[in-house]
Amino acid sequence: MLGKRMHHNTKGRLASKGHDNGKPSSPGLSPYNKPAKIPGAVSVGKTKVEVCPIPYIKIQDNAVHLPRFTAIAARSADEPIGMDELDSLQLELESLLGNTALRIRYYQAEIESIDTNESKREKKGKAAGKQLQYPVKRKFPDDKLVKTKDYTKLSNQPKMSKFKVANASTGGSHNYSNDVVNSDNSVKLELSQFALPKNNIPYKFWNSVDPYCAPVTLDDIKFLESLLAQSSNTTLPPIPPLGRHYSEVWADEHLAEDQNASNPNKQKSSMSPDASSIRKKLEKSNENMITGPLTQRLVSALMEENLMNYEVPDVKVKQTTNTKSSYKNSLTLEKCLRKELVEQGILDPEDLPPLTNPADDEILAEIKKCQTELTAVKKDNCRNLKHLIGLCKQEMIRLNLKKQLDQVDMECIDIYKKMVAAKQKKRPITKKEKEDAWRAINEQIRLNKEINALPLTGPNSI
Amino acid sequence: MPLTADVAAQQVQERLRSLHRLIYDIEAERARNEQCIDSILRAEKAVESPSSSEDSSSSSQQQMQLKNLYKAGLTAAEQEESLLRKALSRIYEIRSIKNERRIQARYAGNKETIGCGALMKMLLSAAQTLPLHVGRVGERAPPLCGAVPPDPGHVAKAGDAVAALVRVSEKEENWILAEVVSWLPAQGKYEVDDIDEEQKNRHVLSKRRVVPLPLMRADPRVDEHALFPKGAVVMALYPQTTCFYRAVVNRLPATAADPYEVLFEDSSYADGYSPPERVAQRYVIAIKEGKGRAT
Repeated sequence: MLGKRMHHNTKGRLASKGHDNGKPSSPGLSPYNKPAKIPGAVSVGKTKVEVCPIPYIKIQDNAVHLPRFTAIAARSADEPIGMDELDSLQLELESLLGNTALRIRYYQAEIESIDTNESKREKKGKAAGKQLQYPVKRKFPDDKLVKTKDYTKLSNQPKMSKFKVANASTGGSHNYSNDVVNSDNSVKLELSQFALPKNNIPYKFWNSVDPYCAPVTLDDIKFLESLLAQSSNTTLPPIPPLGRHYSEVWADEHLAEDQNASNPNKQKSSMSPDASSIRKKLEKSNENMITGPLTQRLVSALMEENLMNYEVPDVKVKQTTNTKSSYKNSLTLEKCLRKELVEQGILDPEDLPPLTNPADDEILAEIKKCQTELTAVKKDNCRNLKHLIGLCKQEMIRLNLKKQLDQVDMECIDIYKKMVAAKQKKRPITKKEKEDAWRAINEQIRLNKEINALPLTGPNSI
Repeated sequence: MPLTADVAAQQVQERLRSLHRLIYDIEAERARNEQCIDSILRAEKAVESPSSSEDSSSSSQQQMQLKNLYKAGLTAAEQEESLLRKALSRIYEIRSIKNERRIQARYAGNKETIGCGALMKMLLSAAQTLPLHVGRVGERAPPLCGAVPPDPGHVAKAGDAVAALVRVSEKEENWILAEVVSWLPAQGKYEVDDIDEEQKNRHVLSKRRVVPLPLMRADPRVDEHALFPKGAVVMALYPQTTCFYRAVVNRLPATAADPYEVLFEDSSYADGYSPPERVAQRYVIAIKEGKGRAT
């Protein structure tokens, strides 16, 4: 690092070699001595050295803090400000501006704190009379600090009274009770003022969980059944027949555009058939390209031979005939070739790829693949839905039983209460009552057994 | 429109006169403010005195009184603030007129040659007289004020001071203090002049090798958020050079006129840092990671 600087030194970048101690030789503008440094507004004046809370430079201290400003203000307008005075004047004005900006903030903070105090006092006056006098004294600069101070002062009191409450209850003495009630009241008031925002997270949680735990209803089963009907009824959309190849469509569009551009007077509607006919004409020359692999091989083999034999005109003839053959022809040619080659034993039928339909392209394959996937998913969905409906029905039975059981339970409790009351009153228990009790208990046992006999449902049943 | 010397001088004179008038106004406004402050101080004393705090109705009355006084003080202070801003804007205008003249003179080819000492002095005074931003309440510091970065699309004007990453030798690159000559929009490059005129090179540098220096100082008492925090790694102009090096902020300026105190990274010291150096706000800029380090 230093090396670099040294390097600069040699380059002459290190500008002032004369002043090594970092103090430039400028007498008027020494680098960082502040011409008017004002900490708040300390009066250097005669009497007090008290720090004023309001940021302000006193006029009586003008000469100390704002020498240039004062000098210029005292001069008459005939004596203009010199350019050399601008720098220091700027700094003095800036320090004044900074002070004013701070003073504005101070006033605003004070006004705000009085306002909040007022509103608090009003609340308090309504609720608990004049129990608490707010501290009025405030000090600049930190309004927040003052506020926190207030809070601590306030919160001290509730703490004390709480302590008292605890004491009173543990000590068992009721001497304080009056006192306690009073302060308890005030505690509540204080607490209500500093109450945390309501914590409603538990409600939120239970609301979110509720749908998963709620008992199954008939509506649920209906919904599931509608889903099942929907999914089993829907059939996959049919695969549309193969349309024109996109390259043809695009080529048509291009041609139409070109035509449009060339003769703009023509109407647009008559464009497309024209365009496609032109394109077809052009394309015929290329049609021989759409042939099967065997045909291509044969043709290329022939072409090579012909080239070797320099029978160029012959090739031309063949090609022209080829070009005239339509796509269908080329397909039959391919088939014929295939058959011939297999019969001759030149090719093994298993080596050859299966003859493909022109419509059998990769897109069709993809669609078919998707369809099989979809049907599989559909089957699975239907199966799951059926399973769910079964479970729901079971659950409904169970819920019914539970309801009955609850009723019987209530009955049992009633009977028990009656019997206890009878025993207390030393009244003999009638036979009918006994029979009722036994019936209820037996019913209870039966229902319990039935419920337990049911297969488990829900997340625990696997 | 070319700014001839005569027109410039006339414009400057005009502003000086306006400035003088404003200063009279400011002085008058300050007297009014002082009256407000006096009455506020008295009222505050009265509120604080124990006798009054017994009775809450009178105390609330006093509070209302105090509030009205604060409001009066606020309007007076706002008045003073606007006058001060006007006066300062006159000074800034004068400076920009002079700068305009200087740039034109340079285009005309007559460069004033400055010696080393004079250059350092000029740099210091430029840093000290950089316009000060004093934010209004609730106002954020604008781009290129203190540590606030420029807008993404910012293009430095001709004559703006920048730090420029310049290749000084085969292996070495340095951030130097330079001045924008022009912006070449087609190439996305700046043409910059080394501030040190002993280096006669003019450099054409891509935008990412040029970092504009702050156009305004931030007042630490009003806009502290617009300053680099203590411990921030920055690029700072090494005192008595025209080169920027990596440094760590050690102490923030206490007032608007104060410089930062920074520790330069320097392997020749045991702890890797130089002793504290004072660098003005204008010459402390955000580091460009990965590019600023000349190895």
